[in-house]
Amino acid sequence: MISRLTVLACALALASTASAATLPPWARAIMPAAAGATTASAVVLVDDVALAIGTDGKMRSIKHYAALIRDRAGRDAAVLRSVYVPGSGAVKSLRAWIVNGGVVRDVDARGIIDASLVNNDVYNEVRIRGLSARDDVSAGEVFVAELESEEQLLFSQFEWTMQNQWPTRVLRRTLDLQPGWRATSVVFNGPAQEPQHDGSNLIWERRDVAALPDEPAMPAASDVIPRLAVSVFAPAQTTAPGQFDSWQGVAKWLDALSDGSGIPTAAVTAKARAVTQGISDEFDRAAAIGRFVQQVQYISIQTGVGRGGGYQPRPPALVLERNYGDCKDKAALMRAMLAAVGIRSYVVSLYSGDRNYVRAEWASPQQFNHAIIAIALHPSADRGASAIDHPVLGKLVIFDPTDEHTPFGELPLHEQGSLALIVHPGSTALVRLPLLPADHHATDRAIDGVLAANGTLSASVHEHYTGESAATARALRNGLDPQSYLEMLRRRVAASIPRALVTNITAPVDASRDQPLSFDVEAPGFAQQTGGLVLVPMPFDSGTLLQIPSAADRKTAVLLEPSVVSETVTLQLPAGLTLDDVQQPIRIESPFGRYTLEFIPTMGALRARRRLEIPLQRIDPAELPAAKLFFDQVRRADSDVVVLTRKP
Amino acid sequence: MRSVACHCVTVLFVAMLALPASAAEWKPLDPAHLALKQPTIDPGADAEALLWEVHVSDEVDPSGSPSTVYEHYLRVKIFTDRGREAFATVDIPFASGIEVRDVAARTIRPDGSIVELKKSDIYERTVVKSDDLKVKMKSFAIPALERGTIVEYTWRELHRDSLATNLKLRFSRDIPVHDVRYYLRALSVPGYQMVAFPFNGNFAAPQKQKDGFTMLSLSNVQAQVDEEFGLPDLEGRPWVFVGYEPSGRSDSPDFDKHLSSDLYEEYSKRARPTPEIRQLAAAALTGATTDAAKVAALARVARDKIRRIDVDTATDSDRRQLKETKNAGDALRKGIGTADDVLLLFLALADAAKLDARVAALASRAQLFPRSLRPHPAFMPERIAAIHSGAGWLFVDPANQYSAAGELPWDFEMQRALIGDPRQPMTAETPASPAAYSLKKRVGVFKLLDDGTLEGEARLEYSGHWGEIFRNDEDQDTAADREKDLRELLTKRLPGVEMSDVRIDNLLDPSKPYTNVYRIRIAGYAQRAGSRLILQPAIFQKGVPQMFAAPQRKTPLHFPFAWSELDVVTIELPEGYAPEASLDRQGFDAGAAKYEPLVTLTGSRLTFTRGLSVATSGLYELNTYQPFRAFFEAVHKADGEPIVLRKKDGL
Repeated sequence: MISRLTVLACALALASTASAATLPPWARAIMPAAAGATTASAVVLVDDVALAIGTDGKMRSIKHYAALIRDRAGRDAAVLRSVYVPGSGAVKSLRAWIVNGGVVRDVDARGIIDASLVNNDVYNEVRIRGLSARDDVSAGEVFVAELESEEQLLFSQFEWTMQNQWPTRVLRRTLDLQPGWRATSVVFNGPAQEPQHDGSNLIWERRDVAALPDEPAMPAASDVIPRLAVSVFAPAQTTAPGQFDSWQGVAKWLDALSDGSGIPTAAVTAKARAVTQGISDEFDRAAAIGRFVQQVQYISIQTGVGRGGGYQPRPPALVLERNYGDCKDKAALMRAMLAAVGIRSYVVSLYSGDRNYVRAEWASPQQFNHAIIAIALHPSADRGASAIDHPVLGKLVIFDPTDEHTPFGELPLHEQGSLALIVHPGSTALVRLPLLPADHHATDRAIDGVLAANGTLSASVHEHYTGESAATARALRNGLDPQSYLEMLRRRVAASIPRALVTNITAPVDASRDQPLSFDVEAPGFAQQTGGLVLVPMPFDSGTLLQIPSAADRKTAVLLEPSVVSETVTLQLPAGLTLDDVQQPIRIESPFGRYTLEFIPTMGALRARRRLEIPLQRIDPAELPAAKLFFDQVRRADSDVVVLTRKP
Repeated sequence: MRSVACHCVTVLFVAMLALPASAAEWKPLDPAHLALKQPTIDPGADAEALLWEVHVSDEVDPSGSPSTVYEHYLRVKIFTDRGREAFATVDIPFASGIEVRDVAARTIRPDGSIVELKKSDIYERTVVKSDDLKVKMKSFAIPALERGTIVEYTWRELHRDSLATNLKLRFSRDIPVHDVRYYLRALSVPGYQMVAFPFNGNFAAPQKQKDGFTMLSLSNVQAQVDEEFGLPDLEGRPWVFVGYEPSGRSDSPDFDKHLSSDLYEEYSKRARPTPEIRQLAAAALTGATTDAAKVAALARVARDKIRRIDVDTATDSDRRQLKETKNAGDALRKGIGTADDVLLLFLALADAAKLDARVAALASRAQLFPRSLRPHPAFMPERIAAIHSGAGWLFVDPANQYSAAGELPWDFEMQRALIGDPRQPMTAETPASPAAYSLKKRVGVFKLLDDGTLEGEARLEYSGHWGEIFRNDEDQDTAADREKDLRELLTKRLPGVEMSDVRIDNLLDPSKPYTNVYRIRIAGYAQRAGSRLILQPAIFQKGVPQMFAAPQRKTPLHFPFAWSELDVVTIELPEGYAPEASLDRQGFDAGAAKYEPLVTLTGSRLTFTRGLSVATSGLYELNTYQPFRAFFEAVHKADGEPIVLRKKDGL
């Protein structure tokens, strides 16, 4: 080890002194720009990508990148990499240099790393190749790199992000068009930008771009970063891969890829009949098939990505036999099983992870990363909250069989309100999936307790959930072993009832059934005695209240998901004690939510009712002080203490 | 800063390698296992391994190089959907020099029908590849997996240029295991023998097999448990150490003598002082009169003169400068080096100062307790210095850069140290640091407003092992990351808190406490109750979960080190408010642990002082849990005790 490092060190020393490296001309031209910069840990001086599409359908790309490293944390900016798919793409060359004043040294190409891009799939052929000088570069130096790659295109469409983790002086994207070709572009999350024309080149350029914010409770980065989407069109007599100018074109292409996947084989038919045996109601039959497909293990195996494999499901019979598959496999299996019992259905393409990601202005399959299903039920059988009216296909119940915690007839919250494409040749536009209001995602909590004279609280707690609250409760229960679940619950309860022992838990498991969470609590010293007073806190579950970030220097909105929590606490008071101080009812109404709290003294007991409703909202930085005021008022009201005194 | 260690073993043998390719040979299945409906070892288990076998065989390939062949076999019963998910996919990573073959898997349904994994469903990919590293992975998904099924899979690994030495063979998994069997087959080499030391389990006596293997087995193994203040990994689970040793050495009563002598030989000649080192020592010792003071001064010099590049804060450029150090003078001249170079320089400085300083070997308590030491060099890999002083020994770790003057890190405390000596071995136990050494000192100066808002400045100082821990955790972070972490930590404890003027001081200066300073404002900190304000004066404990809150525990306790806490909080009360009841607080003394609260009122200034001392470290058996739990429950309750403030009449 030592001798090898020694040899390497000598070699590097020689490389940096005896034979000074030479920068490419583009990099020499920008070097004066290295002087003077912001206070950020690194500044990207140039982030330039130039693309050219050949008539052979191959895209050639050249990236130029230079970053000034200002301090230790900025060393992460000293890297250039590219994603590629073996078989249809390759990184042809990758070189990098470090510039220190007038001295240039090569970054050792032996540091090039080639790695799987996705490692939680059983197989995924997409790779990333890059060269990092993170451990070589020092503050004050400039990292310069250039990369050339080639790729057989699946689509003549591109999407570029127009903002970096670091502030960027020049961010440029260039597209070299073949004669007679044309391109259209649109910018999401930013002002419209038309390309400059320079000969056959279209150039989109931004200067002095701020760093991408990384702020708590911000919307998804894809909903914040300016994204440039470009579609290229070749003239009719020329071939170019994957051209789309309408959503119907996208729907037809996706439909052709999954054509035949919804046809049931004998095995699929037999399973569908077995699953629905004895069920006559159409909705219930579809739900039974949905439950079966939900239990099919989610396993991702991505092959043939460069040839559209990422959009093509495996045969349903194979998925059934192996009892595993990814989202499109599960959707295809469910379609086939539904078809076997005479129910029509369609694949639905959407984006999972950001309900605002898919935009109608850019017809492209690249906007989708997830597949679910739309089921056409007879109007009399339709009773799902996730139903939509499709202009061509009529009433459709939307269902995600990949989400094992959301029952048939409902949709995961993160998919609600998103734009999606029903994969059918007759689909001409995206559809908006239903977005259910806050009170659909409710938690109702009832605490019935007895307060002993020594301050010990003995109580039973019942929680009932709907919508996303129910899905989350099921996911927690299913995701944790019994011991871990108990520990999680104990910690949650201890936040409002210190030193609570939690016992007798029954928890929601099955997505198809409406199951409450129930448990008992024993908390010694819950009520505190001081002098002649007994202080009784209210055991509201306010630990999950949002922490509103400070408005100072805030650049992005705060995203709040919808929810309603209603709590009723009933405490039997010990004999000999009487209420001394009880708060007046509190009602707080604001655009950020609604809150009510009231105490109802009864004979020997105290009842408190609390309700907090938070609507889905994006709170702009300017509104944060007002939002913080609302949540502080809620927090303060929650922490109110009831005082008991000895009866005279 | 954390050390980056590399242990290499090179031994050459000549023998014959046999690695026949073979189809999977599935073990006979007990029908009772097929019918099993519930777990038998742990009722809450999602899955249980029915059989876990590993054959480990050292052989020689046709080129004459040694290789180790591992044959893995695992049979698991699935009881729940969580278990199904956990075993749905199998990844077998392997690096250059390792070959994975004969992968096979199958699922056995409760009715006895079998679904085999097809060869075409085994995927291989290169996870990462660079000039000097290549990691590949074979992956597959288990077909037809459901609750109630049995899944079993097997594969072989051929490790080239390898010997089964210094192996830590684990006998537990994250699920319970009915039967674990390791089969070991050593190379037959004159003068050497394979040794195996079992730990933490009722292992069956080793059984010789006909094919030359020796079987080590364990039954009914509980799943690993991770608990607060739990045991180090190797102390909390069953395992077996396997290694090669010259015949007769490991079980020899002279083992200590050999190692002690080897240590002395390795360091004594190289640690001779040069004139420069003598000058340095003389300058450092000015004013130092006791051995302890001299040792501390010399440790500081050694640490400051050699910048360590075997730590994670060093860069690749730093590491490229790494060269073999000939002796202490060489180490001083280079100015950069490893922990060993710092130790070498310290020993030379101590020699120059006419101190009797020796190298000492020991184990890390983060790995092993003294009870688990065995006569094998792999059990004492760490090196520190021992200085003869009076009738005993002073121990110092000059390479511990985040201690003030070479104090031992916590995991070197309370360990058996073997001191290098040319004639006879000497051992001593390294001392435990007192609770006062690792102090958390928190000072707060606050003002309470009449709406319950609390605002003011907090200063938190961490010394001793606390300082080391924070520095090690944060020395690679940016200042912005450190501040962000601090904000998140405080926000979690005190929802609604506003933080400003955040400073983190003395991160890299171990001569001073690691310090956080910030201003806070918490709306509604004091709770309202009609005309009263309810104030918890233990502001630094507000929202902190109780230690040992779980009513029961499965594993013994391990306190890394003793510590103490001192809080001094002053709160200016809002005008017109005064405590309604007595401010008396009760402390409690549980012997090794003590809690001392005090509340005083001077005018409108309330002062809360809190002292906590936990003067205990090391291993505590499970039956001590409830007393510890009771103590910390009482502390938690006392910390939460409020002061009721009432507005005086007429105001």
